[in-house]
Amino acid sequence: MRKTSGQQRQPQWKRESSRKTRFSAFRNCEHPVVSVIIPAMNEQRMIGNVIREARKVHEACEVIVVANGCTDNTAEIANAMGAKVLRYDEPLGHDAGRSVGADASSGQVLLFIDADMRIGCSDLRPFVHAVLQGGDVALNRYRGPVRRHQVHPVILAKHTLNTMLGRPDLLGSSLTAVPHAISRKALEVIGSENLSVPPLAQVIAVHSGLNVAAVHEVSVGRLNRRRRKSSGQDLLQQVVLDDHLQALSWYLSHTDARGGHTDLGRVRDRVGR
Amino acid sequence: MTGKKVKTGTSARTRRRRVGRARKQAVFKTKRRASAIQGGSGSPWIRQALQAGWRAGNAARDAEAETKLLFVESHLQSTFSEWIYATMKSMPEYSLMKRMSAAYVQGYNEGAGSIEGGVPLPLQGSAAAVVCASSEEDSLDPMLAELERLPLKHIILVLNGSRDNSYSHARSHPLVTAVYYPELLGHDVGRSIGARLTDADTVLFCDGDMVIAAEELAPFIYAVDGGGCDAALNDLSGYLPLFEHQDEVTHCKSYLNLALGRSDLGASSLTAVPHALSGRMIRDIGASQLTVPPKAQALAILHGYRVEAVHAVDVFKGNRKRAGNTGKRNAVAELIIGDHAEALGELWRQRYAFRSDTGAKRKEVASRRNAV
Repeated sequence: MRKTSGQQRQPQWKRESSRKTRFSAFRNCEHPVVSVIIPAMNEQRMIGNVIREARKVHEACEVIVVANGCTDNTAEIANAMGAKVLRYDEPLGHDAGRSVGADASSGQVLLFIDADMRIGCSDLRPFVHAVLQGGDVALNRYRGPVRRHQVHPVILAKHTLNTMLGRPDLLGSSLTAVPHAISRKALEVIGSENLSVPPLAQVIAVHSGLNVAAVHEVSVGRLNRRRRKSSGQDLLQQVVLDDHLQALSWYLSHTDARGGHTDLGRVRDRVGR
Repeated sequence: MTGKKVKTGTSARTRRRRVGRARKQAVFKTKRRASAIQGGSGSPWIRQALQAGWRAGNAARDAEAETKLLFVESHLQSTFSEWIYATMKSMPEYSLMKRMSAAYVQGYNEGAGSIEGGVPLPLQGSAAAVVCASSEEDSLDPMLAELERLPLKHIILVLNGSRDNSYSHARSHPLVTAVYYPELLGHDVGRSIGARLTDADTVLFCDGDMVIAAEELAPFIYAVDGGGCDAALNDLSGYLPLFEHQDEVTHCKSYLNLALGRSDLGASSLTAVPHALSGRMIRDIGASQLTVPPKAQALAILHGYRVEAVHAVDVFKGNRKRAGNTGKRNAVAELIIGDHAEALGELWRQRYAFRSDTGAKRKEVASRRNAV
């Protein structure tokens, strides 16, 4: 064992990372077990860090960056770091990069993360691990700030959707939030186009009897990039809320008007029209 | 267990002080009840109401007015109503109206030497109550007695699957029209049946298993009759714990309001009683919709009716605990969750079904958020 004097022995993961940083000769695996999918739009500041963590989740792994609507060097950086880059001049739309990335992936496990926040690989591995252990959809257990009387509308929507699905144990866990991982089987059942509407994908997964579980908590609320209120936050909120309602209507059309919940023996015909 | 331990730990002095404080509070309460104008009322209207009540009561003593069977036709109710419309330019908040009403009754009783205990309200239209009950003979009698203190035209009592003497109790109340179903109809079906049987302009909905004071029921009628409200809901926001401790039913209620664009309503819901609805709204959306209260709420808001949370009555404390409605994931919770599913499905059909611009919206969000 090599050990230079006066230098403290580093933990395994740190040693590996420093070596990789020096020699950026990472290349996507030809037969990957894990595909990491990163939709990105103008994220040149963060993308390097994100890819560096992403490639450490598994030995056999590929990193796919869906660079859409980029006017900066996001794609070039990703390419230089050995990731597979899918370029689109036009912005694909919120969460639409997930569908495109999933179509281009070949791993048994699909891990989805965002390009705007760096999540350490130790916080990514549990999701991959859960799917490798036989899970189909491994969700982030993060609920958001819930120690208040009135919570953010999106948090409320997530909780309610899970309740309606008969999965209140999932609390606020949702495919809307990253990181999450799905199995290839789950991708086939859900359909890659539906990954663009994450609540809908979640509903389909639960309704199809896939193994959906909240496996690990990553407080993404704190990692999220601060954005100005004016930059489409309200619009985004409306899109996410509409997604939830759309997902619910899908569920109701595939079960019954009450989503399979009891009527407790109401004698409705006593009322008449 | 721990509570007992704490008690034995307190010193005699603390205990004495506590008893003293309790006694003082009790005295204060009786004093307030004895006179509506004491305790720093602040408003000149209260004294005026007392005086007007006295004059009306005195006139009633002189005229030997015949006693009416129904409170709504009584001399007290009609003179109060007349006096309010003659003196006040606009209708005050219920908090003031409640005290004026109490002062007027006090003055009236002093003037007439009577012991009227009603809650007179100035009403523009007629009001009625719908009470749903099954086997609630213990609480039904006092509940109906409280309702009879309000200026109601009639009370529709929908009894279903009753296994005790509820029916004979109801017969002793002159205002009550009882509808009897030998079998259980299920939750909230009685509301539809009761609503169909009344043509009143304001309909108050109550349950027979909980006794609520007339003063706490009056604000719902008051908001619909004079306040231009079409659905006056019980405002439960003050009784809720933090979100993480709220149950799933509360989440559903809040979410429905959010999806309807009315997050200001919090978790207020037509599922909870008491609430009052306007007759015109019931006739428009259909009395049969009241069987699924959240759906009726969604329809009311979608049709542009005014829905407000007007008054807070703590129904958690008084609610009877049964095998079906306690614990997590109980049958009643499942029922209410299903009701909200129906309501949200209706919302989707009416508002979103013919819209397909989500793709464009997603792109706009992405460009606005991530453009350099």
